[in-house]
Amino acid sequence: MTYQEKNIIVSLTATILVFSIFFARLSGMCQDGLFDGPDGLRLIGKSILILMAANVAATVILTIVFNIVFAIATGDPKPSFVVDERDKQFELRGLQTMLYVTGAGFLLAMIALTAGWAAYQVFLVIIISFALGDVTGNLVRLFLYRRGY
Amino acid sequence: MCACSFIAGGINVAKHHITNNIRRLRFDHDEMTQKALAEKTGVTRQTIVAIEKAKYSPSLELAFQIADVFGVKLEEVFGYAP
Repeated sequence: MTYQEKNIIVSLTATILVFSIFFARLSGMCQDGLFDGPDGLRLIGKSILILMAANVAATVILTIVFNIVFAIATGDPKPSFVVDERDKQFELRGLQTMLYVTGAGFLLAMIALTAGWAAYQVFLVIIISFALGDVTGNLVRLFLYRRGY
Repeated sequence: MCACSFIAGGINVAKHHITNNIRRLRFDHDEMTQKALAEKTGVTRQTIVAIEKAKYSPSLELAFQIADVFGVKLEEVFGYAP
C-alpha cells in the first residue's frame, strides 16, 4: 500500500470518526427537543462550526501520528512526498465525485424543504451530504490508487 | 466498489491506444529500475508502472522527459495505435 493510499485511509478514518460523534450528539439533542425552540437554528450553526473545527483538528492530529508511525515503520525519517500528475488527476476525480454527491444531497435537501421539513432537518441533510461526499470522494481516490490508473 | 468503478472508470471514457517501449529501453540502459526512472523524471514509481502497462497516458511534458532520459526521440519511446 502506498503512502497516498494510507493517507486517504487516515482522512477517511478522521471523517467517519468525527461525523459519527457529531451525529450521535445531534441525535441526543434532537430527542431532547433542543432544535424545536427559537434557538434551534442557532444551535445547529454552532454545532456545524464545532464540527468543522473538530474535523480539521482530527485530520491534522491523525495525519501527524500517521506520519510518525510511517517513518518509524519504514525506517525512513524523510519519506518521499512526490505529488505527480497522476496524483493530481486522482485528486481531481475524487473532488469531482465529492461534488456530484454533495450536489445531489443539496438538491435532496431543497426538495425536503419544499416538502415542508423543518429547517434543522434540512441542514442535517446538507451536512450528511457533505459527509457522504467526502467519504465517496476519498473512496474513489482509494479505488484509483489500488487500480493504479 | 462497483459504484466506484462505474464513477471512476466512466469519467475516463477514451480507451488508451498509446503503446511504449519503456521497459525495453530501461533494460537497454544498464537495467535501469522503475524507481530510478521515476526519480529522473520527478514522478512516483507507481506512475511509471502504470505507464509501462499502458494503463496511464503521460502528459506531453512527462513523455518528453522520459524520452530525454533515454536519449532517444519521442517516437522511439511511444507509439499510437488507433
